[in-house]
Amino acid sequence: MSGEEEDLQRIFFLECEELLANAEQSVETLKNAASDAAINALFRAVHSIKGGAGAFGMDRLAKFAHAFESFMDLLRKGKAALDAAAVDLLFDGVDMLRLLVDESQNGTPAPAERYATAFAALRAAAGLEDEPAAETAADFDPMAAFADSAPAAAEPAAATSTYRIRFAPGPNFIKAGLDPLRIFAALKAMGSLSAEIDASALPAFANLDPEVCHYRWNLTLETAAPFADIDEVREMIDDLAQFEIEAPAAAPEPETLPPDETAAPAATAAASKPAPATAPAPAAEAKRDKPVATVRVDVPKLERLGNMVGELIITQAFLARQAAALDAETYRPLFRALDDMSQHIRDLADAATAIRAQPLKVVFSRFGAIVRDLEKNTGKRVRLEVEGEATEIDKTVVERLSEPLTHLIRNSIDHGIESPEKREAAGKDPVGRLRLRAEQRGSQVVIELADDGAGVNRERVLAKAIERGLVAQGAALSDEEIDELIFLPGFSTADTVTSVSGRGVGMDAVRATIGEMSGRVALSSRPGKGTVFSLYLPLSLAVLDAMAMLVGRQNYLVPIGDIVESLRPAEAAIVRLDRGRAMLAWRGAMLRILSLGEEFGVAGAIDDPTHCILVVVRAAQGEMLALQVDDLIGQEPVVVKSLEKNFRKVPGISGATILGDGRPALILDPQSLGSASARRRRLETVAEPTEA
Amino acid sequence: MEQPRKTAVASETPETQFVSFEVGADTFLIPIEKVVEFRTWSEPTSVPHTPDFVRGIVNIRGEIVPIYDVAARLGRGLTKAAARHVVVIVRSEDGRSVGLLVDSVTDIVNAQTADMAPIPRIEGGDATPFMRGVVFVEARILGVTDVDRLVQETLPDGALQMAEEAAGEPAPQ
Repeated sequence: MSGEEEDLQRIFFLECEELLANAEQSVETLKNAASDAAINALFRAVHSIKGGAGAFGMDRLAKFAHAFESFMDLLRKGKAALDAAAVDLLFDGVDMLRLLVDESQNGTPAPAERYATAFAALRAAAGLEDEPAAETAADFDPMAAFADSAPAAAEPAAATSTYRIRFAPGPNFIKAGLDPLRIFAALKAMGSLSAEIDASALPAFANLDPEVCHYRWNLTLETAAPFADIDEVREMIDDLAQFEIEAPAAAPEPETLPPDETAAPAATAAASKPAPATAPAPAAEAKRDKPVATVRVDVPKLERLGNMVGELIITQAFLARQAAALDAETYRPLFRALDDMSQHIRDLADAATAIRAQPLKVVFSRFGAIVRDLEKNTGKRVRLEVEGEATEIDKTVVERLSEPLTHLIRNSIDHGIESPEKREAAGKDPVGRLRLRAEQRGSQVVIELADDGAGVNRERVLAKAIERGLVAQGAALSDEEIDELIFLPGFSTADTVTSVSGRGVGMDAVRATIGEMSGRVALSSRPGKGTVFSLYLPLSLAVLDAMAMLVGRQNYLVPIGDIVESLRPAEAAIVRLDRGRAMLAWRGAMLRILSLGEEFGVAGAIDDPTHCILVVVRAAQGEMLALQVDDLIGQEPVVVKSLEKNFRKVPGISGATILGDGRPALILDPQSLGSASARRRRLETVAEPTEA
Repeated sequence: MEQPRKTAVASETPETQFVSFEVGADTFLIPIEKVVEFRTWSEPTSVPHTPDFVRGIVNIRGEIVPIYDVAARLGRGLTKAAARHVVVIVRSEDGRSVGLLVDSVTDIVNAQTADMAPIPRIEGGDATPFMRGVVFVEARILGVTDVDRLVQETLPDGALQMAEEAAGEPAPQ
């Protein structure tokens, strides 16, 4: 395979990812209500996949997409009913497409039996049984697609209007690299087009300039697309031609149908990607779907940009440190320039972050199918409501969120939402409600998964934790502490391992994965009312707002998001309860003081907590922890560097950064700092096992 | 085919070039293709919860690179590092960059790897688990270090056993 073809294939698979996400979303919409927009969107997605698959010789994928598309076509034309069975078929179809794309991309064969069943079901539904087996999508040439008629023509429901367009290319039209055919294709994508050529401006042969288009056209376009879309074609022309659109004639005239209307309507839509949705969509949706010019960029290139921004931040910190020694009065202009530069670099870092950002829709769109599967497997009924899926977050985070979120959803349905009978008995809607919501708050993205189920069964959780030896018999735990137990490694309340939960990934893995992305998970639950899981994630993994702290001669950093408060403790706030170990009395609670100097064995650290600064941080298991440091240096944006690239993961440390003087400093991870100490504490609280 | 060994700078010979360095009284070799660069010692940023031979991390062109004290790695105690000490940045098989703190870098030498002989068990020695073999360099016999093993934090079981046997006492925890 040539390098170019390989590139094209890679792009195709990237596109498939987006298309499948769109398709899943469309089916999800169709599950709730019939929508022409969703049907058309799904049709386009399937069609695009078929086109690419055909071009790259991925036969199974192309054949399947073809059957799928044929069925979609019946739905579009109203020749098949969009009932529950049809929706199921669509769900299965999209699932199968995903498997087949994976098969073509990674060579993981799609399950043969499932393929056969899904394929046969779609073919039957699409009325394809009698067609010869040779009828495959492989003979479909995506390049020729724009010569076909557009799907709008086959859209019976949409009201169409007829526009007359006078199109006269100017002398520089061809020289500018434009092509009348492309204009026709763009118009054709919206509806049916007929053209009448006007050769009156053709000069004598001797005067013919081959680079000038002397023809003019009178076009008739019958379309359901709004005027604005037609007007957009004018932008392609760039003032290099005359392009006059005449107000639509009142009624569509059947005579204007072009002769090539017989072309298979199946082989159409998405070849003209910029074609707008043919069915009139609600205003908000139309606005969101309006195409913005985009460029595909390889991730390594983005990473390079991110790295350069990182280096700039470090250099700027260095300059700021150097300049601090200068006299502010004498060097006023220099300081002003440094301030400006610092602002620009912050803006640049934000822009670089935004480039790496991806909407959460990419992961969220998969959950509809997962919830549906779980409904089938558990006999429970669940309505998934998704909000804020346009919220954007770093691409790496988006990719890694899929697994923990899937687990949380499984957990909510398996353990949270009750069976329809139980819900009815409790006076609830038999259909459980699962709300997945994302929003940006400052430099964080918060994702909430709320169910209206039974809430954490604290009695059972506590009993299980005692049975597992995670908690001492007779220990008095608050409700919140009991809820936190489900995040302990090895904890699982399922008495038998079901096919739903209990696949070896526990809530501890969820917390660990989120923690690795410098995020955290919180849980709040009300008996009988439901449970809310909240995920707090940083917008960017590359640049972090952190507090620099001094311990001995070492600098350490803590992400600002983890800090609750920093304080210089009063004598009275330090309590020594056990072997003189200091604790901090804080907001009515007793917090463990973790002296970084002692924990890390730093020479020259201050011992006496009353001479130190205590930084209250959110540690693991909902615990608050007071970090004892010598002093605070200040808050600054820092570039996160991996320790693992050349070394390894270090407990309590999430990474390193490079300070203004060029030396590395460690970024602390209060979650794992806390969990290491929580483990110690647990060992202390668990009663000594007595030998029988 | 084989050309006579020359002491001069290697031209195109089938021999391998090695960097020779000193740790205490011993001279060891590192294949030159493993070496990325040399740096003088400066105090690295220490990393908690690591063995003593991990002296800390430094910034090399924006990358975080750990520094291993070779003497300490061999169980000979920490090097009292000063500005005259050298850090050899090596690249391991798995693509990691690691700095090796040594007393000094002495030479670049040529040797025939085809002649590499296995290491005999050395009573009371500690470097054997980190050696790939010995080669002849002029009149001397020098040990070729196994860089990939040297930059590992924990040794495979067999090697540890060898180290124990060689040291004649249980390896430290």
